[in-house]
Amino acid sequence: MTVRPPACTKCHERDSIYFRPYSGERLCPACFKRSLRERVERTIASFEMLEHDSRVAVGVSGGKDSLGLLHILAEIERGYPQAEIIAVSVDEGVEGYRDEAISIAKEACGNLGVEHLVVSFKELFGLTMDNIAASNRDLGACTYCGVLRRRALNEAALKVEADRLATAHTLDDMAQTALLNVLRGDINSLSMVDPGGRDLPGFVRRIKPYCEVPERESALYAYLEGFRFQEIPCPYAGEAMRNDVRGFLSRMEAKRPGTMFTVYKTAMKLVPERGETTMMGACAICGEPTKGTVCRACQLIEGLKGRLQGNA
Amino acid sequence: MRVTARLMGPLKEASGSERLELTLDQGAKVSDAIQGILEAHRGGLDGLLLDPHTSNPTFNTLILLNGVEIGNLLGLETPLTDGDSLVLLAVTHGG
Repeated sequence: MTVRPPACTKCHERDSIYFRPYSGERLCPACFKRSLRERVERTIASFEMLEHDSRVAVGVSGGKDSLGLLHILAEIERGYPQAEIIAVSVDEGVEGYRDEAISIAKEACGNLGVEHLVVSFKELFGLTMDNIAASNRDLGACTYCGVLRRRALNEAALKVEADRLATAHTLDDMAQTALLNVLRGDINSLSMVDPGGRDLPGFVRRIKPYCEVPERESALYAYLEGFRFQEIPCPYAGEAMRNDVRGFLSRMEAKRPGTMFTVYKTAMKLVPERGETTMMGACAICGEPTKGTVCRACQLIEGLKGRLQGNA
Repeated sequence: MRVTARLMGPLKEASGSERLELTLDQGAKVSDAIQGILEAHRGGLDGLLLDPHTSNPTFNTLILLNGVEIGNLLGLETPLTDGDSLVLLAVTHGG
């Protein structure tokens, strides 16, 4: 006996292919894709992320989320002749994993006709993630990668003279980060999750237009659009505490749909009002803006270099 | 009955092949096909496909039956018919 799916609850014409447990909607492919794009547009508008003439650097890792965001932003940009999109990728230097992803990113940018810049950890910091992972380190690989990638993306956005840096953090990422910060007791970081970003001297304003798109829906969007999927997983991903939080939240979401939205929205209530400025100084080593004397990226790099020289 | 399964993303890499032909008993459900896929790989896909606490394959995998996500049908209890095709895509991979 074949089970037929119900009709789409939006167009009432085509068969639905996806059920959204948190809203009760059943959507056909066309209505699903449109609803995702509209959600991104609403997010951009509600957080005042873009101007009509913004020059947006889109962080494209080659994964499904960033390809989806690039695709949707490229569609939106067509309606704004004065706006521009440039894709930026960071090659962290993880053999196999990142090589595949960069080739997917290049292919996607070529298909969309979007300019593409690749910067690498090796050229910016003199070390690859494979070097870092193999070193005598006292922090998880993801901690180094996260801090350095954030710096590298900012460098890339500055290089292409962008006034916005869009990253494809999904709803799952936002909820995981919020919960991680609670578990670490880091209230300060919890209040910094603002997806609209802030204008800080020396930093390109970071925006997260995918912040209300569940990762499951990002995967479905990528499948429906026929994107090429990354096949090689990051060899260092298993170390992250985030994996535990991801598993917990996924189980909660399945049992109690809407949990991720609730966690994200709760964290958003703790975001300070815009206009509250943070005083920044310059890093004593690299000159980049920082709240302390030496920025976090330089602290990590200098620590690693010291250990690597000590081992030599 | 015969059912085909297409494994995408990291599942394809871990499986070593993109497509898998399954022979299942009449009356088989999606859960039986998933069991067949896991057995064909002798545990090699368990870590990717199954939630470590509940062994539920739907938490981290998008499963489509003839293009329809199984959450829009009867989930893992959805009955299969001869010639059906499944797509399995890991949700968490690549940002």
